[in-house]
Order: sequence, then structure tokens, then C-alpha cells
Amino acid sequence: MIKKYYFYPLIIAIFLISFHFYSFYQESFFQMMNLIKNKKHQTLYEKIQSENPYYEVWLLAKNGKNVYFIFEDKNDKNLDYNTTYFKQKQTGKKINYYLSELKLNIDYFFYPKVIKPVSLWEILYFHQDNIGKYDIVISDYELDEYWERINSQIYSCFKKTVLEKEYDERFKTFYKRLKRLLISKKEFIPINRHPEKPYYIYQVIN
Amino acid sequence: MLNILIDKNNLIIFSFVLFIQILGINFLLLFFKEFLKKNNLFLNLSYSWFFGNAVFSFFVFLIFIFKKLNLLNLNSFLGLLFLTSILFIFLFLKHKKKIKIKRSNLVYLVFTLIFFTPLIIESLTSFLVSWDALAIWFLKAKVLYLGQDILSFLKSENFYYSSQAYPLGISLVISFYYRLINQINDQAIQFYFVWFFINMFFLFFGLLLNFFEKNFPKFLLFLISITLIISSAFIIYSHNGYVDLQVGYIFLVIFSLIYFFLVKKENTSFYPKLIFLGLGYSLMIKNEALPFSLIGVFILLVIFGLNFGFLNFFRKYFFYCFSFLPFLYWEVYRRVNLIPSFLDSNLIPKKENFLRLKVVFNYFLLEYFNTEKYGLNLVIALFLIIFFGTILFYRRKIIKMIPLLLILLFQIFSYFYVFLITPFPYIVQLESSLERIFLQFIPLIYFLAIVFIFEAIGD
Repeated sequence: MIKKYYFYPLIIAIFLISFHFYSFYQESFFQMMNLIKNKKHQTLYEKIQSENPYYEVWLLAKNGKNVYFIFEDKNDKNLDYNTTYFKQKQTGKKINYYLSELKLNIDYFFYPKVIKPVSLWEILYFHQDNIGKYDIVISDYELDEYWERINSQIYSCFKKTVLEKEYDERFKTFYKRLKRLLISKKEFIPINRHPEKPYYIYQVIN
Repeated sequence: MLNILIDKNNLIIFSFVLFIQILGINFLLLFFKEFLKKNNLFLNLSYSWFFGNAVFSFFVFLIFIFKKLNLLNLNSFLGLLFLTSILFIFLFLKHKKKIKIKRSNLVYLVFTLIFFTPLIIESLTSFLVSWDALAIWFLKAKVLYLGQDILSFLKSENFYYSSQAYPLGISLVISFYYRLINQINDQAIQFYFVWFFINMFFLFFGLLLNFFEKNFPKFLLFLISITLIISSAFIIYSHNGYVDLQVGYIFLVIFSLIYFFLVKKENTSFYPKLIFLGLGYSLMIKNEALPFSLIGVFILLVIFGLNFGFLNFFRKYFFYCFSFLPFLYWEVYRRVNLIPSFLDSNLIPKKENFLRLKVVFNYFLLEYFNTEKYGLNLVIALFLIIFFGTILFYRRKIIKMIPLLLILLFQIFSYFYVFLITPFPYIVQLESSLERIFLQFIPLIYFLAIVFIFEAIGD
């Protein structure tokens, strides 16, 4: 006859295996507590929020800044199936719509204000004249990188069309008006999450 | 740690959770004291949290319908808390002789809270980053808090990704808290979510005590309950703003009530009432509760109808069908206002989509045996269900368990069905939602394993 006591070591072993993983998390449970100890922000909420990868976006929303959002990260992984589907049902035409984590955070933090995502091309051709001093540009595309590229020697060797030249000129004018704002380094490492894609914040200085 | 615990917003969330817990105890003491008397401390805590939430959600939904959300503020809440506490003291003193609370259970309660303190602290110090939390639940809560016209938000094409057709239950509760603190705080409210997780532990521990206290040492049952609850997927989803673990808890509570209704020989007339209330509440949380509710009501109807007659069933429980009103209201509201859902007009699967079944099944199978997320628990539970299910089959006791198996299988089938009819690329949808789907029914599998063992050897 098998006695119930025979199962005890088995149960304890299974518990220990599970607890091993829990204790792994337990270490990180206190990580944030240690991080916020020395922070100088006014409220506990902001101390914690300062470790949010999108803290700077939250801060801009909190301060009611006028923001333009350049959304260039349009790939299949960012397809917004819901919007694409519902728009297609409404209009009969299939146009792909995209949604990135950055856009999601901008929408969430800025609500009720709606920040429409625009491409860099749209900014250069349609919005540049409307952008005023102290306005903010959030971009998922590194403008500095493009600036360096068009100023490199090798770039000047390529033959460009009239439209490409015009685009670059407009970009240079736009870029000269911008100052890149630093995004603070976040110490908190969330568990089991993929790292956020980088984003860039610029302030219009003239 | 102390400065976190005594933060004003955190103190308010503690009071808020306490209020819902007391509300649930009062509700059960007032209307279902026979039910409360039967249970141990942990079951009572868990059931009262559940019904506290149900009553509270119905209340907030009513206020929402009558557009009186702006009446909610800290002062009105403190008044409600005071009245609820007075009522609780009165009811407790009245019934204290009938409700036995073992001292050892109190010790385990304290020990549980100490054990989960790191998780509680983490929930209070977590910023919000998860996708659905931002896109759906907390965004809608923000809209409701800001007093914006929810209809224009739900119809806005800017927020089509926000699953507008989902019910508003959780978002309403979050917005209630925002109104108490008069600001948006998506960090402190995570404690409300983690309390569901802790109550799931209470439920498992309470059930194990209920079934096996005479046979096994309490500490061993405590270890088993902890083992069931601390898999990495459960921990992560306990307070990241997703509501799937909460849905899993809600299903578990209703599932356990259905089980007690099936097996208890003495007076069980209050179980269908509680089940109806629970199903009504579940429909306010997420659409996945619809198949669960349909099969739940069907089973109640068949079992009760066969034993006591269908007319008696309606006579006795018709009033409790009103718990479905919030759901019905919401369905009518969204259809009248053309709030879109991808399920609308897509209900019949195309013939070629049936090929998806095999792929979906393979994904489910792989997920089931993912020990990285769920530890060894699911594998062990499956073997226990098969082994003890066989014993029950030969002892002809399996018939009693068939309704439970039916509910579980119907719920899983409903997920397959959605992947059959979805107009989106089903693989993308499958990969992004599979883990969360599992969180909804894993507790039911654990529960089945526990009751199969009990039914086979418990007596």
C-alpha cells in the first residue's frame, strides 16, 4: 500500500522548483524600491515614472507641449490590423495603418489631445512653416543620422534628382532649427520584456 | 518601503481594495450567510472579494448609465467606506458564533501576506508599459475619468486599435479610483490587480483545505497552493495592466461554484444565484466571458430543469437574470451606436479556414507544455486529470464531473472558433494572444486536477 507520506518529498521538490523562479523575481521586486530612494522628483508617481522608457514623452504631455510626431517605423510588425480592417470596411479601400509602442504611449499620455503621426516628408513639405519656436518633435527616426549622411562626402558623389535635392534642402533648413534633447538613461530593467526601440526628441529653437 | 506604503495615493488604493472586500463580505452575510458558514476563512475571503467586485461593478455601471460619474469623489467614497464598515461590524458581531475562524488560518493569512509583500511592493512601484493596458483598459479609464464623451472616443478612428467593443467594467473601476485621488495614477491601481492574484491563491488554498485538510498537513497544502500560483506567467500578468489573469480568477470562482452546486447534497439553492451574479459580472470584464456564460447557463438550466423542472428554474432564479443587464445594455448600446467589433458579420467560418485548426491546435499544444512560463504545473495537472479521471470513470463517478469538463472544453473550443473566423492574419493574432488565453483557463485545469483527486481518493 502506498502511503501518502511517500508523496511529500515530490511535492516539496516541485515547490522548490517553482520557488526558485519566484525568488529570481523577488530580487527584481525590490529593484525599483532601491532605485527611487535617491530620486529628487516631487511625487512618488514621478519617481517611478522616471524609470519608464517613455518618461520624457509623459513629461512633455504633462507640461502641455505642442508636439509633432514623426512616425517612420512602418513595417509589417507594426501593422495595426484593427484600424486597417475597420477603415477598409468603411471606405472599401485597403490602406495599411501602423501602430508602434511609441505611438501608443504618445496617444495614451497626450489624450484627450490627439497627436497625428506624420512622416518626415509630410513635416518637411506641409508642416514646416507652422512649427513654432519651443515646439517639440518626437521622432522614431534619428534625424541626426540623416543629417550626417547628407553631409558626408560619399553622399555628394551620388547623382540626385531635382526632387531629392529639394527634399534634402528642406531637411537641412528644418534640421538647423532643431536641438536634440537628451533622454535620460533608465536603470530599471523590467522582467521578460523586449527592449524598447529608441526614439528621439527635438526642440525647435528658432 | 514605509514611504511607499504611506503615500497618500497608495493609502487610498488600500482603502479602496478594503472597501470592495468588506462590501463582498457584507453582501454574502446579508444574502448568502448559509454559503459563508460552510466555507473556511480563505474561501470566504476569496468569494467575498469576487462578489464585492461584482456588486461594486454593477453599482459603478449604473452610475455610468445615468451619467452621474462626477458624483464620485473622495468624500462620497469615505462616506461609503464608513457605512460599509459599520454594517460589517454589526453583521460580524451578529454572526460571529456561526462563522468559525481557526487561529491557524489567521496565522497562514499573515504568512501569505508576508510572502507576497515583495510582489505587492512591486505592483505599487510599477509603471505602465504593457500594450493592452495602454491601448485598451487604462486609456478608456482615462477617457472615463476626464469625463470626455466615451461615445465619441469609441467611434473615433484614431483609437480603432482600442478594441472599442470590449465591455467597460474594469476601466470604470480604474476611473473610479482616479476620481478618488483626483488625478491619473496608473501605478498605485496595480495593487487592485495584484489583489485578484492573491485572492486566486486564497481560493486554491481554501479549496485544498476544504478537500484535504483531514488527510494532509496544512503546511503541505500551503506549499501546493503557492506552487500553483507562482509560475512566471502568473507573476508577470498579476499586475501589468492586462486583465486576463483576473478573467482566469473570475472563471475559477464560477467554476468552483458550479462544482459545489453539482456535488453538494444538502440545500444548494443559493449556488445558481451566486453563479448567475458571477456570470453577469464576468460579462462586464471581457468578451471571452460570453462562451463561458452561455455554457454555464446552459448547464444550470439542464441540471436544474431535469431535476426540478424548467418552470421552477425560471420562477426561482428569474430575478438573478438581471445580472446580465449590464452586458445586454452594452451590446445594445454599441450596436445602436455602430461601435465596431471584428466579430460582427464574421460569425460563420469560411470553408478554407478549417485548415487553420491543425495549426492552432499545434500552437496550443506547444504552449501547454511550455515549462518556462508555467513551470511543471500544467504537465502534472494533465497527468493527474488523466490518471484520476480514469479511476473516476471505472468507479462511475465521472458523470458528476462531465459538466465541468464540458465548460472547460467549450471555452477552449471558443478560442479555436475565434481563430477560425478572424479576418486578421490568424498566426499573428495567435502568437500575440496565446499566452493570455491560457491564463484564462489554466486555473480551471488546476481546479479540475484538484477535484479529480478529491473525488477519487478524498472520501
